[in-house]
Amino acid sequence: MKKSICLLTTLLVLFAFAAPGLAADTAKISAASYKAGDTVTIEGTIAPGQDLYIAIAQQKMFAPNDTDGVHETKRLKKDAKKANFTLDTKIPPLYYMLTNNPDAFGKVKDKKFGGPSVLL
Amino acid sequence: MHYLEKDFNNLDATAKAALGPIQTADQWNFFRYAHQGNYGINTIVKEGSRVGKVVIFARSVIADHATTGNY
Repeated sequence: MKKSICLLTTLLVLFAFAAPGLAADTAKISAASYKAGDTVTIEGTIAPGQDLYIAIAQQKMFAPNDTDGVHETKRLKKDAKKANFTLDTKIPPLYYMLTNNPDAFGKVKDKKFGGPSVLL
Repeated sequence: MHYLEKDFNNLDATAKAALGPIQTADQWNFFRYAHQGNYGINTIVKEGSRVGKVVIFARSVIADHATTGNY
């Protein structure tokens, strides 16, 4: 899994910082662009008792239309119908949501990976 | 395993506003696909969390490991 150096140096960070009721972007981020392995520091304040949501994402987005690999175009076209997205939907390939309330985005469920189907 | 919410409209309003670049239901669906299936993880996101040797999903929502015990 190789990533070229130029891809790493264009990795930039944008973030969204939300507090309910206010659109307060009072957070500061430590640098404007990062390379792989750098430490990102975000400083800011939110009102006590509020939930913290920080979205860190790559600025360069990817849509299924952006690739012209033979296998990828066929596969993404097929999966787009099943998973309900269109071929020009863009997402950032690197995206992390840092929060103290992960339940707002989904649930944790137990899932079995391998192992015996019946424990005797 | 942390499963992302299936329906974009079921997300809490403040959480939805905080998502940043992901703003439509289509984008959320593509985001789920890229983070929770083998093909999405191996070709788009390329970062998998593993249970043993099995890639189970790509990290997306990260909380304090000490309190939740999750990613």
